[in-house]
Amino acid sequence: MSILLQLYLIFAKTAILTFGGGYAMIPLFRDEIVVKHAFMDGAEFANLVALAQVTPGPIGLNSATYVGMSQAGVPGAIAATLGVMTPAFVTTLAAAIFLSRVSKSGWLKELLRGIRPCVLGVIAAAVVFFADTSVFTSPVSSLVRDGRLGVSPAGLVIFVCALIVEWRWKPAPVWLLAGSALAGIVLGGW
Amino acid sequence: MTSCKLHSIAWDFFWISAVTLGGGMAMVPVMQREFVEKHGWLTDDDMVEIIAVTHSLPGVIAVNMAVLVGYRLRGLAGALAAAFSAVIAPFAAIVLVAAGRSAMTGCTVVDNAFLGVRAAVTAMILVSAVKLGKGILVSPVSWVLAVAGFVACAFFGVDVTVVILLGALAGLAYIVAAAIKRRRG
Repeated sequence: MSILLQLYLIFAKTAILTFGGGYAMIPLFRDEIVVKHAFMDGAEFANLVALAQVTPGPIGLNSATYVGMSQAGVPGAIAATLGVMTPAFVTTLAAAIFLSRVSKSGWLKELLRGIRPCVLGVIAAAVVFFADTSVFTSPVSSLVRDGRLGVSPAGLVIFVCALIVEWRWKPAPVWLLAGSALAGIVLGGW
Repeated sequence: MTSCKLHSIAWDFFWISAVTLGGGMAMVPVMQREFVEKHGWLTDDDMVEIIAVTHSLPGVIAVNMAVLVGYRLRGLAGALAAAFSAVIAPFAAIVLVAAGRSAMTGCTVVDNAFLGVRAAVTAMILVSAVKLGKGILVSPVSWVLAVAGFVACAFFGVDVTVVILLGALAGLAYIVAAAIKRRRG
């Protein structure tokens, strides 16, 4: 199968399963991009999520474009972007045509009552994976296996500060990320 | 409603998506100001309905919203114009970023900056998960599903897709339960 078709299909498939957008997409895309296809490593993906916060467009779209670009240049970027758009386009168009029926039917609401807690659990797991690429120097899951956990002091300090700032003031992402990048440079490889 | 031209829909979606960093819900306040207050193409009730519907549908929210608004305003052509205009700026930005990023690999200062950025993103997602949790964790069943999903993904390497499909199964159980209740009542 040609790489372009493969990129299109991977992102179309991934996007079908994302409900709610935003952070809910991150674990699914990570699973597909990092774990299954190894297009990039976990740290690179975490960088990409950060970049998506300071560029236009949502993370799902941004990561599709980025992966497509890295795998097959601009044609790859186009194929992956079209893939990620397809499910949203088709389902929303269908919903727009039958809108009154969709919004009144209770079954979708009931279905989401089951899906949303699972998505939340999966997002929480993504926090662990992201911590693996910044706060810790060994995977958190290895703590269970061999009882050791390496901590990056710089990563931990920045994480705790960012947590307080984000929780207390919720600044625009660009300021928080710029500050953290600066802190990363100042604290260096500590 | 018929007063809006295809090219003005396209233009609006292009610049709205270009100026809203992070996409999705970040577009809502700008769309509200532009489409409801300035052009009068939509009402506040339309916006609320659009947000509710796009959040219950699969896919990228920004595209969902563009399709829904575009279709409302000008049918299929409007939906196509809005969706494609909405992805131009994000697409261009990431193509540039991807090109620049590969030129910077191996640079210690950039690597250290990205370590800080990853730590901050971890914190941002954690805060957002906690805030989301307030609305989602409303029953013992929802707690069980969320904890099970977390443990399965974080410690047992279970496929995210599998976890979400299991959540859909739980949702089906809710639907069946509601149907039985209706029949009895």
